[in-house]
Amino acid sequence: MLRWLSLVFAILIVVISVVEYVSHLTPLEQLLTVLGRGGTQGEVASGLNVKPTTTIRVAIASWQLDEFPWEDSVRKFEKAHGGKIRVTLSSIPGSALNTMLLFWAAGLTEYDVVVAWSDGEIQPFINYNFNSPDPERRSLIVNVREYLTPEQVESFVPVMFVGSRRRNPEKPEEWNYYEVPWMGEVLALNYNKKFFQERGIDKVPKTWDEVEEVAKRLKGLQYEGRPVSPLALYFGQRYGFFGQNTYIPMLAAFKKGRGILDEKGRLDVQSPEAAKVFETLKRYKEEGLVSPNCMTDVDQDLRSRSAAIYFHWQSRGMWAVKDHGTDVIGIAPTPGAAEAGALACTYGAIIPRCCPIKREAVQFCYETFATDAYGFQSAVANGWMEKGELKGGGKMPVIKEMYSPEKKLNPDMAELGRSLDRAYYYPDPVNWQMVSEILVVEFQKYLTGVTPTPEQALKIIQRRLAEEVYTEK
Amino acid sequence: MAVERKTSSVTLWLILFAVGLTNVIPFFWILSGSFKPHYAIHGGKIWPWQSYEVKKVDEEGKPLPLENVAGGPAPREYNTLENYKKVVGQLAGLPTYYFNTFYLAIAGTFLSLFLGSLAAYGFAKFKFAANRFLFMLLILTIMLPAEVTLIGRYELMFQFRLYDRIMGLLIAYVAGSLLLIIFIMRNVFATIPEDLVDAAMIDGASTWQVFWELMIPIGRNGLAACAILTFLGIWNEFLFALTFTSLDKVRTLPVGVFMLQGQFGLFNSGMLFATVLLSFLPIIIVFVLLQRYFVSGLSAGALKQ
Repeated sequence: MLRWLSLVFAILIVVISVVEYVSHLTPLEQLLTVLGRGGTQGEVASGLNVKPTTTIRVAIASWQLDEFPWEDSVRKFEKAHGGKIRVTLSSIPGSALNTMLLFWAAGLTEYDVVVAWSDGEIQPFINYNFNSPDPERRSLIVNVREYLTPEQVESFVPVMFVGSRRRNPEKPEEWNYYEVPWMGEVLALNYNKKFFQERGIDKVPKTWDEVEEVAKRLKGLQYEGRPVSPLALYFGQRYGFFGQNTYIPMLAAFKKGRGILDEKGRLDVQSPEAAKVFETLKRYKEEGLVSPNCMTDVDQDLRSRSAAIYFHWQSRGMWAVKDHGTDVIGIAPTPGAAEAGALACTYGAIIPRCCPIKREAVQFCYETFATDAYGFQSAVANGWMEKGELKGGGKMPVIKEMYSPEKKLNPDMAELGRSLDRAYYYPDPVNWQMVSEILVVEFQKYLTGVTPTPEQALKIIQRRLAEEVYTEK
Repeated sequence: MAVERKTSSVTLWLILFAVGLTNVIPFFWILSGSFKPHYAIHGGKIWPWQSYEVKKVDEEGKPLPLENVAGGPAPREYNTLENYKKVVGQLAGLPTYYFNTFYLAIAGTFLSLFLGSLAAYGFAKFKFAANRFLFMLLILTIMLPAEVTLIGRYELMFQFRLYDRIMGLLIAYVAGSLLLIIFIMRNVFATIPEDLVDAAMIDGASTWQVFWELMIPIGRNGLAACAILTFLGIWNEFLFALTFTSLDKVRTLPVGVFMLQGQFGLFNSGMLFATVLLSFLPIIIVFVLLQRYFVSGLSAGALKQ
């Protein structure tokens, strides 16, 4: 009996697998088809009695699914187009974007639009074959500028394209844009208003000297019997956050508007201001102003009220606002931002070159995610309600229209929006991960006394960058 | 003498208790955390007897201010089912992920056991040239971490159009599980006396019948142990499932759990714990059902006759 059962089961597995290979129906879909429950799902868009002529397949990073009203906006788009365009939404894991490189290079794609993560992560797709003389073979993703009207391009806050642009090799005076931006982030000083009040601090620090002064006054605070650190700063290796949230804003402020780049257009690691950054951060640590989690992860410090000031994107501050309200959490520009600007980054939608409906895909992205026609940009900034729960919000809108007074943006975010004119992007985004890793490792050596002076630490960084990143002698 | 023996047994008992605790505490930590909101967990309020402030929101869903910074008279709660409700609501693909993982675990375990025990039978009972050499070669490949072969396997999946297919994952899992099964079952079969095989042959049994009616029933403890190990391995497998799939419909549970993470890899810890608990419930059931075979199966073949 067991023998026959085993044989039947083995044959069943083989049959299911062959059917899947041929028809691309998963075992579950096959089961549903056999049970009469598969097949017609989603054939009619938005419940309209119209057969769609175009289908746009959209993939969204899983973490974004719950933060933005994709489904709602997409269904409104379908309705607005009379049901002739159908949009399918799928979620993909946050770190799987690179697995698409091989497929797209071979001219295959499961998706027409991928709502990519930060623009830093799409660099390999832009760089692919970029030196080819044939524009048709250049990059794995399309230059969306070819499919957007000048008015549409003009509607964006210009800095939102900085992370995904390249000079057009044919017309060097022009930029190519490789994503349709739909949200931005700006580095901010996120803080706990109650802790400030408790120590009689009524002004948010605007310079790093003021930060130090405020931090000293905040020392010794407690919340529910637990100590509160004045500053949640990243000194660890996670996601390059030391470079992004700690080194860059301080360097920019110390350089007073002269930018964070050296003469080669790379991150400045040789000026006296760079040495001052290292020195200052070490002093903060020695004076006990920095969170004990600084070497690992300070992401939850503001939310759990174990730190008073937290430097990160404004959305991290807004996250804490969702927990504790605007009464407790405030968001302000980073010290020196009035003069030096602030680091910004963008999240955009990319369209693979092998997509058969490029124009429709780009226009869909623009209309649905980069305008407020279906309420998406408002949701980006203010969040959205679902089943009585406020979701998402706290991200920077990408279009100029959203910063007008009529849109009633959160005052803190409106204030941050004013610094977008002077915002800047990561230096050398292609190599940023390696640069930031070398930077933090050598900083840690300086912090722990392995390297005695900041100048020596910076010399080592310069040498390592030249050898390991830029392969210079 | 008796006092000495008693002291040493108490010491041993304490050591075993401590080791047991290190295994059990994380489980209870997750269990307890699954009934707490993320802000309570990050505030160190993880155990059932620790209360936390209940977050109050207005009609627009925005948090209402607490009465004072130290918590004070804000309402407090000990446990909540909110995480489980959110998991079911938010992880829309959960039933699909469950089905795919179940199918892969069951089909993969079955195929691995079937093919692996056949190969093991060959290695254990047939004398052929390079038997030992081939077996050693197989064992050597166990020492190669799967991660090392990831890019090669990805390329293979791509070339054979097995990417984004459950079938592709099934082949990868069966291939990956075979080695351990061959290793364990060869030892199990080797302990079965040759006299039994000879007796069966004299009674007219074919090689196939010897395998089905003698080897498999006698080696069932070993098979059960292999089944548990393979089932667990496939159920929890993450790397291949993440790398070889991009469509929602072919996704498995571990990748689904991974997809709960927020921007920069941050998790809503309470929800994560609830999902983890839901995801390993079937594993507990399988283990409870088969555990009596497990230890005897693993030790089978350890004694040579």
